[in-house]
Amino acid sequence: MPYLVMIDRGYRGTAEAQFFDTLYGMLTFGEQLGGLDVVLRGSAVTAAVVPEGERPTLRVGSLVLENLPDPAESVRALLDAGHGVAVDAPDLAEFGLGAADLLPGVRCLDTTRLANRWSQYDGVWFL
Amino acid sequence: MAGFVERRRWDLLIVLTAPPHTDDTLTTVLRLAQAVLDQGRSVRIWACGYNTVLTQESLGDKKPGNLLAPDREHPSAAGLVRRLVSDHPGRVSWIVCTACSAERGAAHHVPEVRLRSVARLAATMEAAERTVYIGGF
Repeated sequence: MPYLVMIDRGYRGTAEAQFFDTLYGMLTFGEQLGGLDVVLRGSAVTAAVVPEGERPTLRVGSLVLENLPDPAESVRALLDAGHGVAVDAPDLAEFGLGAADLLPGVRCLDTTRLANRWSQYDGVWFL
Repeated sequence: MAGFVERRRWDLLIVLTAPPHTDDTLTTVLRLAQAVLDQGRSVRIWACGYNTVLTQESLGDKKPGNLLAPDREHPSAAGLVRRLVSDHPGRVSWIVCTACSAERGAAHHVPEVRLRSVARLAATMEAAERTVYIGGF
């Protein structure tokens, strides 16, 4: 079985991290580990929500950063690579959102129930 | 006749203590500073804690390559601070706390930042019309 990866916090440094965020790490580790089931909880659930509006930029002096973190793009890339992505339903509801707001292919479930399956994974990571 | 030293006044001082890579506080500070500068005003940023590692020379101006998008270039945090200071000469100052810097072994900083003892914090606040403290230890 692949690794189960729990991510509880999003938005860990737009300016300083840019592309180098937790989801980037999972995209680079995933194949090495033989596959991932990524679970988004807490504020990280918003990574799997269909984005609205224009992609934000950051201007610092004459420099405009147009390649800021794009969590939805990273979630799509995880799915395209064959990894599983699930969102915690109660945490998603805290934001007033539901399964219909998620990117296609993302599962919505009560992730506490996954604890019954931890022993089936090669490892369980909390990131 | 003895002269008097006229101390420089700054419109805003931002004391940044929330650690980077944990939330978007640094981004907020950069946006706030840029908004102040866009109004023609002046701003100082006092970087404490782990923010002192963001301006080390060893970081260079660019982040390490993006393995998933090698054609993209991304400025480092040090590069962002350098650009903020150099593009607004005389109106922005990035101060690094010497104690926090030494505590974390952040020895060599980019030339655009100023090192200042924590003993000067109150004087730095006194020189600002307004101080905003963002973060916590």
